[in-house]
Amino acid sequence: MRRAIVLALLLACGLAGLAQAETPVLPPDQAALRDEMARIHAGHVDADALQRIDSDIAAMPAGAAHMGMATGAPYPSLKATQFTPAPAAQPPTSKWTRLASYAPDSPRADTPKADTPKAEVSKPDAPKAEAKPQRTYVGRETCESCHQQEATNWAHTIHAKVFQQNPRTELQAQNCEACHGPGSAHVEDPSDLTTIISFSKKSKTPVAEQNGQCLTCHAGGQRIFWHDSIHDSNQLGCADCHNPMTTFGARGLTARESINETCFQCHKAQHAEFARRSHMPLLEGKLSCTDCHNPHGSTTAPLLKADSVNEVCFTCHADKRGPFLFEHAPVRESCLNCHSPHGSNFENLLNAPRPVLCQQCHSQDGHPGSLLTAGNMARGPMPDPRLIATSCQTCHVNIHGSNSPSGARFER
Amino acid sequence: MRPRLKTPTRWLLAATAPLAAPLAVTAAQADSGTTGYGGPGNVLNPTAQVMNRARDNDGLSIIDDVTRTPTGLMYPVPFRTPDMTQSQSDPDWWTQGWFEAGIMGTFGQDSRSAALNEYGDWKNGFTVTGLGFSAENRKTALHASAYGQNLGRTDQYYQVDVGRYGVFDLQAYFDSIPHTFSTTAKSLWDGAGTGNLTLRGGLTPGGSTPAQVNAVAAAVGPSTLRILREKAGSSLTYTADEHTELFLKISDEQRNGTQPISATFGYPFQNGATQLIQPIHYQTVDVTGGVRYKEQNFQANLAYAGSFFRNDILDLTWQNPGLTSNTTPGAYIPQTGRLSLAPNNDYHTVKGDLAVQLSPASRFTASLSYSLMRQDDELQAPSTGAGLITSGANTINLGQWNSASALSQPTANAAINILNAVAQYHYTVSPDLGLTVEVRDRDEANRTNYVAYNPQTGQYGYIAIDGGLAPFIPSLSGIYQANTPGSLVQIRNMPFANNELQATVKAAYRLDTHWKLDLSYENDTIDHTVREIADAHDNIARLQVSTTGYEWGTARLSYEFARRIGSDYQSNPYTPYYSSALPGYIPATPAGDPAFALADLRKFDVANRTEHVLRGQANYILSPRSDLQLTGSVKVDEYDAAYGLQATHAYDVTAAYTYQMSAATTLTGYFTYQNQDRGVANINATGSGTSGSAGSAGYPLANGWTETVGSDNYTVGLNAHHSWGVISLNADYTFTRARTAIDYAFASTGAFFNSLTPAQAGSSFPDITYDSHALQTDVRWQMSEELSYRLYYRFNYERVVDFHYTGLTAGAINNNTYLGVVPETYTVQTIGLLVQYVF
Repeated sequence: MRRAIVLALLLACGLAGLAQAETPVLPPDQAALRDEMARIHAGHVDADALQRIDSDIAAMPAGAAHMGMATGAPYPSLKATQFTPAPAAQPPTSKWTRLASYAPDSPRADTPKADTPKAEVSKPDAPKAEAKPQRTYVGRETCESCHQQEATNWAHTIHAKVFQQNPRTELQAQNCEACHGPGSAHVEDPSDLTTIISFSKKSKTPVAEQNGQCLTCHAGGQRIFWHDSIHDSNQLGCADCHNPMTTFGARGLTARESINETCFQCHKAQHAEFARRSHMPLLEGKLSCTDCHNPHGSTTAPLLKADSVNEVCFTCHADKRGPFLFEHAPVRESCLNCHSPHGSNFENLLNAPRPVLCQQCHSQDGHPGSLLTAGNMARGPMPDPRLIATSCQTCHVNIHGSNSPSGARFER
Repeated sequence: MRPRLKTPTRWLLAATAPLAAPLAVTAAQADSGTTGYGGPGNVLNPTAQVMNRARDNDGLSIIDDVTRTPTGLMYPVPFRTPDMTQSQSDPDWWTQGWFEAGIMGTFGQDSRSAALNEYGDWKNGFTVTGLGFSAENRKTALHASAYGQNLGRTDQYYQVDVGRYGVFDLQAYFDSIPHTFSTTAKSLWDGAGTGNLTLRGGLTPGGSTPAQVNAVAAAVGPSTLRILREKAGSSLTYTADEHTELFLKISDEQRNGTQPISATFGYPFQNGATQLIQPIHYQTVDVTGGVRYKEQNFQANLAYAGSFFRNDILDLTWQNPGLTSNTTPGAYIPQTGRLSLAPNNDYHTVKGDLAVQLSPASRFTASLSYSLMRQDDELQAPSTGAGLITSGANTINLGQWNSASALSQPTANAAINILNAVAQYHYTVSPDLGLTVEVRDRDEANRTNYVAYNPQTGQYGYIAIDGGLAPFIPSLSGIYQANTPGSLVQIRNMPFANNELQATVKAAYRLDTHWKLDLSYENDTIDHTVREIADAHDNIARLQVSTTGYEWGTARLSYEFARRIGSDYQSNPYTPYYSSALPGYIPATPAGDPAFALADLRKFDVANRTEHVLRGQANYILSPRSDLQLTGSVKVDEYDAAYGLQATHAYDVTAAYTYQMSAATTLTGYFTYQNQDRGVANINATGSGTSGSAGSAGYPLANGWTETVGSDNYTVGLNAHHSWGVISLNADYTFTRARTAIDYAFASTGAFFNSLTPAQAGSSFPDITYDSHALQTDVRWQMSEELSYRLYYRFNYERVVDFHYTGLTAGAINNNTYLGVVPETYTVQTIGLLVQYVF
């Protein structure tokens, strides 16, 4: 029944989307767009830059303006405004991508041409546009003439090696400008950061567009669930976790020296938990956060790499996977019922010390509900195996499940 | 038992398997989309660097010497990566090689420093910490590299890569992780590491005395219990074009060694528990492969993952020393026991993901996976014994229970199928408002069906703990005796499974240029199979506010409220799986059986619950070169439970400070405080009456007790780096202190069967504490571009106090035997002098 509901919802969603796709496109309201851009950039840029952006919009042909907004750029993309001929079919205006950073790139990304003719500027009330310089690709050497140190660091990255040794698209062949956009305007006025796409705190490029720039090449795959993931909704930029300009770490162009250090930038409590008495070997360099989590989004809220907690745990702990002849209900449901995977003050990553861990649930007739006290310690007046060492698991040893025909109580 | 390949063969196959596949296949390193560990790193290299490098005093940029992430945190000072050297013979090829080696000495290690080597290898002597070579052809983009770390040590790592940039990458690796449990174990048995433990000389199966056990334990030298995880794997990634990537990933992990385990021959009051040594001989082969496709408005993934676990030793048989607190003359005492170990099992999953940009304003994302878990090992006989047991009015002939003929089926035939479907639709309502609807359905079907029935005797049930209980507590013998009142025995497996349907609606609204508000509501419906509640509904509301773009930094705050309400709670949903469901069952008394469980207790994983979660984070840019970061969270769970887990509370706060005086001088520090507590209540059952209510004869309030567990954890981390030109110093210090207080109160000594006086019981356990100090300094002298020296020093102190192990030694304690495996405290210092050469 529920599967039917799910399938029905899937179908409904798909039909709704298709219906939306067929909605007639309204012409853009350029004045509204200019107001919106002014609002977006207020506080980010100075008055001169604001004026420049306004001029950009005014100078945009209708199609290009559409393209910039409709394809996910939070403001008219530099590339869109300068290099894309007006398309025949105009997609609808959508400014929403400022929030949901889904930014499928426009066709411009696939056909970057330094010599693409500038789109016609026809708006009569935009005289500044006539004098506006055309933005073109300037080439890596031009960038490096000022950014020598950046070039030195970048040269060792995988991006540099692919872009310089074996670019597989025209965009990749643009090297620096593949990510930062055409640099001619930036060359003319390096102090105006609105003329270049950048990825740092002082960047004038909104985070959603920064991410859209990365997703131009890196959409899908491991990032297919990025949109609306917790990291996306918290407005994290790709550059919060990655720094493609150097090789801090061995893998993934991370923003810190390792994957773990990168995650610990924000996840401070988890960092502290891994320093506790029982922990997995992250701080010893043998595991990383991404062995269990996919920070780029997943089908689960905690960004797990599998569809459930247990399926993640079984990746390494296949001996606990079973299925067993006799199973323990909370174990089959979630390992987290008893374990704290990020670290614990108790042995074996347990959430609580035994026997009280077990006595949270067990009260059966017999011994499970008995209070164990300090008098039951190894050298107390009444030593009790239910307390000493592994406590309840001294007898109920196969607590993760037993494959013995005599293992109904997990004793064999 | 299914055989496995010999180790070298397996690793060779794992390393070369992708080569045998069509070239259009595999997975890359650091693949965040597929599971499994693997990568460089060890205790000397915790950040998993491929090569030890000095910091670059020129920083990331000459123009902006301090750069920050979009959130506002400063990027660290980059490393100075040595350049490759152009080949004289072929100018298209560039190469680089490096090695780092030296002498390491760790002082203070003794027989009680197992935790030092828990996940690392601090062996003294010559060590090669790094060795590697890489080459690339800058004309063809072909590249190859190979490197190793901590060569010959138990935490060693090796990796080989061959590929063409942007086209394909073939990788093979070998990773080794030690896991040391104890260096103080004293075994009463010979045969540690095998499936058969035989008592050492001086001990008699089923007939030893505590004095004899203690004598043997005193004479045995300590041994180390440790597992070594060695994993070999390979992956191949092939980027066919800008749209299509194929991947294949194969790994073969072997775990070998020993770890402590235990088992018993008696009820707690009989004692007779034995701490044993479990052999670990595991092999897990994982295979993952698939295709990832992307274009502008459409992306899709299709992948298969298989995991195959094999255990060379499926059960552990051991001789029983025979200690027991029972004094009944002539009573049966088992001479051997047999414990089932992890069974062989297979796991398969096929998963497809899809993302479609339906229009500029709408997006559809979906995922569908189907997984199979299978386990079909041969079942062992219910008992190892062969004698007759007098069990109340009945006699049990173990000879009819010690072979496979005593089983209703020869193999486990256990199976679980899982369907997981996720669909998400996003619609942009306006520039400032977006809506998302998400539906998630997860159906688990547990197909395992086992009946504990002996066709030889025509009886339901099994032999509990190899017959140890039958003479003394006949009702717990494990065998259903048809004509005996109260012969309550589990006769079937319980096929636990969950089905879960989640529906979520999200709204994201931009308040202004800087602020964003996210709201969501989620309804979860969970159907349980064989649980205290049939279904539960969780209603979850979330509010999240985040701000970015301010000059001063970034702030994020979220609050979540969840309320779970389930159907009627049944304290005993297990009746169909017990002998009470059989025709002719006779209750313990004419009025019925004693209650199975306390009816007023609620198992927390299915109980009605109210949850509050508050999380916050603020990054404040104090100055162009300094950051202050504050994070914290509060989580409160209140269960509608008079007994059982009643509540948990947890909160944490962290303050972190970073100061980059220059690229040559940096300071960072953080302090984290975490607090957790939980409260539990329970009643010690009497076995009287038939009611499970609190206050009834079976659960009198006089037997009630409560317990609270409260933990305080403090963690401090400091790092300082300074460079004096060619000489640099990096220092790290981490301090951790954790203290857990466990207090209890009881209505009367009935809470613990009057075995102790109130004064003996006290009101709390000694605190569980953990203290750790780790200071590590690294002085690097970059003598030339090629040659550098490192002087490494580490001070490490660790102390664990845990009442579970206080006073515990190897030998007999109250007719139970222990290995003497206890938490170990140590203070060690490590000094190393290493030389690195890059060529």
